[in-house]
Formats: sequence, C-alpha cells, structure tokens
Amino acid sequence: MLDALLLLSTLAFIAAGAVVGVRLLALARRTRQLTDFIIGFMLFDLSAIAYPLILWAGVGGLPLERARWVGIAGSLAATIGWTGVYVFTVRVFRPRIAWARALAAGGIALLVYGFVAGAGFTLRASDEAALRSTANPVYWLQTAAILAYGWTALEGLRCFLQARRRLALGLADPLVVNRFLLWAWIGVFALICIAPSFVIGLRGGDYLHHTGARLATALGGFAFAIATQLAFLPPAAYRRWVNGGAPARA
Amino acid sequence: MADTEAFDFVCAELEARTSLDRLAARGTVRIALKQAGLDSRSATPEQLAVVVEKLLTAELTNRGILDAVSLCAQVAQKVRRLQGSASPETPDAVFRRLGG
Repeated sequence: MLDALLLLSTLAFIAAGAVVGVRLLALARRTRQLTDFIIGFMLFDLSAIAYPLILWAGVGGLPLERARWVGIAGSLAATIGWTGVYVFTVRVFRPRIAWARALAAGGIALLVYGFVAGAGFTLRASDEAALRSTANPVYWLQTAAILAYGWTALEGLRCFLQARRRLALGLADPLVVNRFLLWAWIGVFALICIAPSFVIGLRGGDYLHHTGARLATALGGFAFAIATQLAFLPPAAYRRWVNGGAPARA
Repeated sequence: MADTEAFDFVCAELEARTSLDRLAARGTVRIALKQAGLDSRSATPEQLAVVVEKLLTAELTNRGILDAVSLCAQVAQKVRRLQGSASPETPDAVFRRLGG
C-alpha cells in the first residue's frame, strides 16, 4: 500500500514539476526575465532530473559503481536546483538586502561544499552502507536545502500577510495573494519531503525503508505537486474560486 | 534603497500643510503604508493615493490634524498625477507574471 502511494506521489511530483517548469521556461523565453527562467529551471531540474536520479541511485538496485555516478549526477542536479531556490528567494523577496545576500551566499557555499565533498566521499565509499553513512558530507547538501525551503516559505508567508492587507484596500489581485500563500506551502511541503529522511539518516537509521519517512515523502510529494500546479498552472475553476466567483485577472 | 518619489511627495505635502515636522510626517505616512502592507521604497503613486485616502485620514485625525479628510483628498488627487518612477521589480509583479 505504502509502496503504491509512494510511487504515485513520486510520479505526481515529477510530472507537476516538469510540466510547470516547462511552462515557466516558456514564459521566461517570452518575457526575457531571469527570475522567470530561474524558477522554471529550478522546478524542472529538481523534479524531473535530480529527484529521479537520486531515487534511481538509492533504490534502483544498481551495481555500486553505477550507483556512485548516478548519485553524483543527482547531487549535482540538486545542487544546481537548490542554488536556484536561494537565488530566486533573494532576487524576488529581498533584493539589495545585505543580510539576505549573505544568507544566500552562505547557503550556496554549503551546497557546493556538500556536493564536492559528498562526491569525493561517494567515490571512495567501499559499499552501499558506507554511501549512506552519517559521515557522508552530502548531508550538508540537504542541510542547505532545508534552510533554502524554510527561508523561501517564510518569505512567501510574509508577502502573503502583507498582500492580504493590500487586498482589503483593493490594491492586490486575489490570485497573486493566493499564489504567495501557495509558495509558502510549496516550501513547507518540500521540507516535509526532505526533513524526516534527513533526520533519520543523520541518526544512523535506514531512511529508505523507514515507514514514517516514506509516508512523509509520499504525502509531501502529493501536496507539493498540487500546490505547484495551483500556483503556476491553476485551472479556471480554481481561479474563479480564488476570485470569489469573479472572472480571473491573472 | 531610497524611498519612492510618491512617498517623498506625500510627506512634503503633510509637512507643508500641517503642524507635523519632517520626522513626524514621514513616520505617519510610514505607519499608514505598513497598515496597507506596503513599503516606502516601492509604493507607487496610485498605491500611495489609496493609502492617503483610506488610512492616512485616521492617522492624521488621531494626531489632532484638523480637516484631515479634505487634506487627504487633495493630497491623494495630487499624488495620482505623479508619474510612477521605474521602481525595482516587486514580488507582486513577479508572482502576477508567473501565473501567466
């Protein structure tokens, strides 16, 4: 049952990220806006490239040598995608703010360290158990990802609360206000996908077969897929609902 | 980041037409902007006009400014005539665009 749920969730996560990512990349091509490209690429890369590769390396039953390289490729794609989360967050929510730039730079440095040191460790690991050992510096990659999703969720929530006040004065679009809230949820759902496995792994547990971690990943993946779809590719009925029955504006 | 021209304009009007000094005028407008979920560094003339009409009146009345309603109506009318300067891209603008 859990296996089926996890499979469905994985497919929903990959499909939603890929479809929305491609749509946003097409938007970026039209608008020529770097921000649009960053979010489109980030969603596509994390959902359709990094996650499948990491999954394949972990549970694909690959020979050790191949699992090493698939895992490193997945980590590289994840590093690039999570760098995108930091860059998007600082560009959109805190442009020209010194502490935000420093936080983003620190997070990206942690990602790069986690990838480089993790790749070195992976190449030297003697067996699968060693790959998943708590000594693997690839955990720094996940630490930086948790920080990125937590930060972007808080920024989305802050913007939602501010925009809700503007909405009361007729100075905001209900769909945009709702999109800020969905962005905050997207960050939270991504955290739900990553954090339990991360904590269990750090404590030396087998997160790939831990029921709680798998359930959290499955439910988080489903919720992430739905929130991503509603935020960036909302169906007409959802637009009407957010607008309170009025015709959609954005 | 500097405050927008519209913000500076509203503050200057208050300073000139009420007993508020520069610091008090700017602080009062900032409070009204905060209530509206806006920022002095990105608020547009239209946003400022709405805030002046709907929120600043009460703030000025609380500070003992006489005929705040009429004053705010006049300031709002003037600020609407300002051209919005090219402000940095706001989160609103980005998230509106991303919805297609």
